[in-house]
Amino acid sequence: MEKKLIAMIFAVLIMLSLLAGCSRSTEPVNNEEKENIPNQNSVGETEEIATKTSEITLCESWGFENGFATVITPETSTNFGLNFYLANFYETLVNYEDGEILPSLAKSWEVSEDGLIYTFYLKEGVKFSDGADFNAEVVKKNLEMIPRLSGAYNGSVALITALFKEINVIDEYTVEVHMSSPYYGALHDFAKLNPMAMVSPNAFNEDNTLSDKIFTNTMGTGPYMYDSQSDEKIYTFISNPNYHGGKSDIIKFNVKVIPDQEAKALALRKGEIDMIFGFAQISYDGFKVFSDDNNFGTNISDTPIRTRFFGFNLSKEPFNDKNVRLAVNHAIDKENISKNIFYDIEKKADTFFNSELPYCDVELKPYEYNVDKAIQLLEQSGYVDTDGDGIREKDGNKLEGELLYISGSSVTDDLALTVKSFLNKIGMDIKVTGLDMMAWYAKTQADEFAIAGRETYGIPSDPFTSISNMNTQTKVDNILAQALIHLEDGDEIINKLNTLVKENEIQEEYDFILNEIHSNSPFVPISHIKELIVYNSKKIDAYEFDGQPSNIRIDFLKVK
Amino acid sequence: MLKKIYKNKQAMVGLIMIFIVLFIAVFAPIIAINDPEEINPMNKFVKTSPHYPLGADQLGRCVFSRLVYGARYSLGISIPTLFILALISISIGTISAYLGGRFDDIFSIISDIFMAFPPLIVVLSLVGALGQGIRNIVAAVVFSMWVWFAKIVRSFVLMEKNKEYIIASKIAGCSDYKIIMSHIIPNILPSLIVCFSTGIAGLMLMISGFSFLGLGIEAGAAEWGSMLSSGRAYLYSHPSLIVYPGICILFTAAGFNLFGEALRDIISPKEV
Repeated sequence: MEKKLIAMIFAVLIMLSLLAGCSRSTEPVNNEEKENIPNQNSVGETEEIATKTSEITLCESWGFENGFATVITPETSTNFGLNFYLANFYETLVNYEDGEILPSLAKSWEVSEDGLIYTFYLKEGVKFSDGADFNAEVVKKNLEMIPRLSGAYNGSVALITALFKEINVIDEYTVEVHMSSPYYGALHDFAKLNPMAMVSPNAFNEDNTLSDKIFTNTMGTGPYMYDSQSDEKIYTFISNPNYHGGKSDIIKFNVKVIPDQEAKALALRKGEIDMIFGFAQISYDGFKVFSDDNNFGTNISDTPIRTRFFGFNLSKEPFNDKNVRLAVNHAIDKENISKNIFYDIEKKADTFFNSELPYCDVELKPYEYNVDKAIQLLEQSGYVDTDGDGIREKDGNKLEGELLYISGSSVTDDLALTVKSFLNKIGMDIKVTGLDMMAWYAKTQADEFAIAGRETYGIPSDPFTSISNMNTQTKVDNILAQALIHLEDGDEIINKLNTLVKENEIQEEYDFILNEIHSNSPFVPISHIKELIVYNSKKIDAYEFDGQPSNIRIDFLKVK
Repeated sequence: MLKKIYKNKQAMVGLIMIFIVLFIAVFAPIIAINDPEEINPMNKFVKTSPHYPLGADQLGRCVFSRLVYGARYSLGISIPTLFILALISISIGTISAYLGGRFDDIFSIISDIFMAFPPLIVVLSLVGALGQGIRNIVAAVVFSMWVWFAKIVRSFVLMEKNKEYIIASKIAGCSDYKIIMSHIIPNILPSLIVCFSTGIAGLMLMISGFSFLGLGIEAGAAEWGSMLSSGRAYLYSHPSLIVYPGICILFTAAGFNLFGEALRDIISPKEV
């Protein structure tokens, strides 16, 4: 009996100490107080960092066990984590920034009037990390290999890979790309690290397959290269001695695998890691707590990177009814969600694509939050609550459905539950189900969903590849494929757009497509996501986001 | 027996704790001030007030009301699960031990196979295959745990069936059914009650643990384990969101454990 009592007392003491330990952060400490404790910070350091930081550690939910191949598709990778790191190891022929195409490995380029020939003039004296030279032959080899390596997904990650007709080497540093048809988003596709990054010719076997070397080597022209992996799932990368650009502050960085969001935040607080990068890696509440703490620095990208939205299944009841979809659009208080769930980091989205994206500045009337209008629309379609259970019915069928979303983040969990609650208020019964990414993808591709929560591909794929994959024939994205499914000639419209060359014609087509998407409402845009970073301000001074903000650029870190 | 329980302080403390939780679970609609699942992001993290006695969580839901309804989930799932487990394990364990021979050998092989898999793995696979839902989590827990209880029942029956009074009743011409129902089960029942009453705390923790991992209970349900799980994201800004459900789980599990162990002390004091 005594032993049990002692055990219980201990349990209570542990809980109280947890409460006391945690409650420290709830009481704001003013700056003066902080300054009076110079050598005591939350990362446990007791001495000033004497020398300039040259090595940092960050964390990631996934490991790099799939290797470092730059063509990343559901066939080649179980996660897409490498996507965010590619910019550290590889470069593309051109770069994308704020809607503009900038030089990269190609110092300049020309496009023929008919849009069928792209001539790239390459930088000279560039070497890959394995010592191989970068030249026109290497570009030709890469551009021939990318469609092969894309397999069934050729054209769906970057449409251009399905349009290559012939690659000609003009001289050592000039290459000509002939296309089977013009594509207005070609240069944007050339700027995508996945799949268009240039890889050393040593990464390919003679039989035109990918060498196994790529599993343990990054063979690019970027500022860093793979070094080693420790037993504790820490991947180490070091400076690329052959890098043609300027020297960066960091000469070595480690990526530690920590799957859980809260564990990541704790690791940063404990000093195990120096930064967390990416909106999906940290809860917004956690981000806010770090923002208010002088020991940590934070930054949010100016550019929205993608749109968070819900997509309906237009082939199944009840969302095959346009009025029901419009009712959902009116029933969700996006302003409220943006302020309270997204802490104003994500701003509410009135349109599917952010209007700052190329061709997307189209005038569309937003669906305002109006519950009465939503109810009116449902009643127009015959949905009435006849049995008084709070859920509407029509012809004996309840107004219900399953909302699938990718779990693993407190933000997506909270968003799904909040949307469910908004829809419940208009008499709609929604069951929310969180799944891991691959299970979610399998279910949505098999058409086993009513509503699916997700994000657009992000820049530079938005709007080009996103619109292209709305073609139902591509069959790679069943949610986007709902966009123009109501039009008999929906696929033809997209095919026609892809081949247009004149800017005014492209814009006209965009005006039509974006108006159709907005008025038919196959999607409910919720918010525009921005990229974010949290870092240990004792080590890192500042971080400037890349032109494609989702790219983690270690060389962009300024250290103390 | 009741007198002994009444006189045992540990049993009384445990019993009072159980009754408090039971009372809260039964009268949850009266005790709760707000709808536990009503989401209002505008009320996010509102402080303690008469309308929100323990404040509100990240979605503006009343924490107090959620904790009150959480008692329903914990007891409402673990008690029926225990009854199903008891029914299955007593039936199979008794028959296997009483009949013995090949039947008992087959049971032993099956139980060894079941015991080779940790319950978490079995529940993970079953919930994955059957989908989310309270029924499925009960089915998965029963499927993974029945063998553990059946083995205990079997060992009790094995001890009992060789006693002289059983042999006497066989000689007297009692049928096997009557021996099991009228002699063996009533005699092993006190020991089984002890075993199951201590097991309920384990089951409750197990179910809370599964919902903490997102298994079984529907997202957003006012279940203590899932409240603890969603509160993790607010560990630094609002630690109370994990402390309150933690205390509830601790209180209820401690109540059942204290009572169960006291019961064991009362029924078989020599084992202590």
